[in-house]
Amino acid sequence: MGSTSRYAGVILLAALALVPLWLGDYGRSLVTETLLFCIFAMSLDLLMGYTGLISFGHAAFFGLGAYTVAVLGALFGIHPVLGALAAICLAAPVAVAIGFFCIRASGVYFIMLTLAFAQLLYTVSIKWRSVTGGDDGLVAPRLGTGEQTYFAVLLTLLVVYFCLRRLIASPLGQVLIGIRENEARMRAAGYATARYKLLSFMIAGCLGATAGALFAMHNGFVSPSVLFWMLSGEGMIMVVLGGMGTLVGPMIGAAVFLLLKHFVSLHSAHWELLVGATFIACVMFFKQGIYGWFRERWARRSRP
Amino acid sequence: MSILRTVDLSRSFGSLLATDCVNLAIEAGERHAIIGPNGAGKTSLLNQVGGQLRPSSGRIFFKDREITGLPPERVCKLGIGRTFQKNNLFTRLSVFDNVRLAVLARRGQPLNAFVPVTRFAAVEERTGEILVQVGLADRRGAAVRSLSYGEQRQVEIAIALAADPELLLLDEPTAGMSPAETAQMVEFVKGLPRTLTILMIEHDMQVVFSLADRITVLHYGRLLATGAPAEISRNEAVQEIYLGTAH
Repeated sequence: MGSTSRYAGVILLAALALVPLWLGDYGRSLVTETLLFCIFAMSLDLLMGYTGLISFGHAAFFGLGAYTVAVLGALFGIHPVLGALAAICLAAPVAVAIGFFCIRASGVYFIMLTLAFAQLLYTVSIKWRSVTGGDDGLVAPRLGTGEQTYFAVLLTLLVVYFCLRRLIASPLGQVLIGIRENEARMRAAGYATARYKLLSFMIAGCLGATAGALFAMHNGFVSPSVLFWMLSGEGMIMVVLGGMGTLVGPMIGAAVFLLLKHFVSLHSAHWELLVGATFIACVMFFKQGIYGWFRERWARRSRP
Repeated sequence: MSILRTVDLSRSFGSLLATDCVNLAIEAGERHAIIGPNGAGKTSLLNQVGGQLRPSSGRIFFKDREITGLPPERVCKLGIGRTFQKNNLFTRLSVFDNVRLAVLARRGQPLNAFVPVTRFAAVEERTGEILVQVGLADRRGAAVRSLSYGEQRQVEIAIALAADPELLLLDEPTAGMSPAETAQMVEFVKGLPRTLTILMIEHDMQVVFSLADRITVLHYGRLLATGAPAEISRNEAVQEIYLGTAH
């Protein structure tokens, strides 16, 4: 399985490297968006799938990243790469502050608190017109040509993926998994779990902001919808659809979700209906998500 | 020297006094059993020592350092390991991963996010040692949920030992075990080094009398008697209330 998945990865990567040659502007733009949402979904899965923290407010960090790039670019003429770095640096303390309150709660209360904080930022983006442009949104500085942006996003995704893979296999990753499995036991074994959960929240927030920053420089425009709860919900759907608790799963989920969204919405205004039905089918019949289902079949096939 | 002391320790749940002014002193190296009928407040007492439950009043000292109300992770770091009455494990992870998590807390770098967890030779080695010690070396790769109940109890003890405790709290170590498994567990506890102090709750009187140096009897949260096994079995109040034999 190890070598097979490596081959699959290399082939996929080669295909992605050729995308700008194959596809036109629209296709390339769509793949760019998919790739940056892969980062978003993976960062959310670090919380949901690995730490066991069901955040319904991850759009807060996506939006924070997007607005940081846009505001710094529009008001001060700062280059989007610097803007993205600023976004990550800003996301860390914001995540610690939000996380500090949310982590004290658990279960439904954690979900509602994360939602509340994200909606708070959403409201700020609408009301603080002089900086954010309010409902009208804000023109964000683009990184460069569509191709340059595409490769920048692809490269960032690869870096994020390999860093997260390393993190999951590291002692810290194992501790997060332990917290997901049995937090009370982790405490009895000597772990101050709140600290680790906060750290996970911070890393996820920084990566979510990275995705948002890439979105701003890809889209060239930012509006309050990047902070809206729908985006948080869409992120959760991507994670669950693809397979929670894996890194590949959320990426598959992001790809399937966005492909459905774009192609079905060309033919029908009711694309959400199809996404909803797919999601329900997934939750009911493949509890491990699309990737989990494939992995299980593969394991069964290769068993002697 | 008393390694563990409780002073007027009390804990109420509403109008129920689960722990009622308990003064307990456990000597270093001792094997001490707490017995008492169901609802006597045995687990509540253990939970207060382990930090899972805050006392309502009174104080707890470990090696003359006050630990009253400290969270479980601090209590563990100070040298108190514990097992739970119901298996409290990472059931989807392997036996080795379960124990390694506990070893990591003590001797690893749990904040390291870059180096694969398997690269820490000292942690791997200590985890392997503990598995040999509790007799699970050949089950290291098995998922904990696939283990028998008795084997899961052994994982409980392995996790507790991974903290390198000076005081080990065992909450009914033989609960739910077959007679053969119980005998094995008794031998195992007997074989633990005498430098390790053990405070255990146990229902099985045979286990209690074959392991304990001293016994404490709790009844409705109150400490009824403390003494050597022979004294306890002669004690009339104990016979009447706990063993129900005197009339």
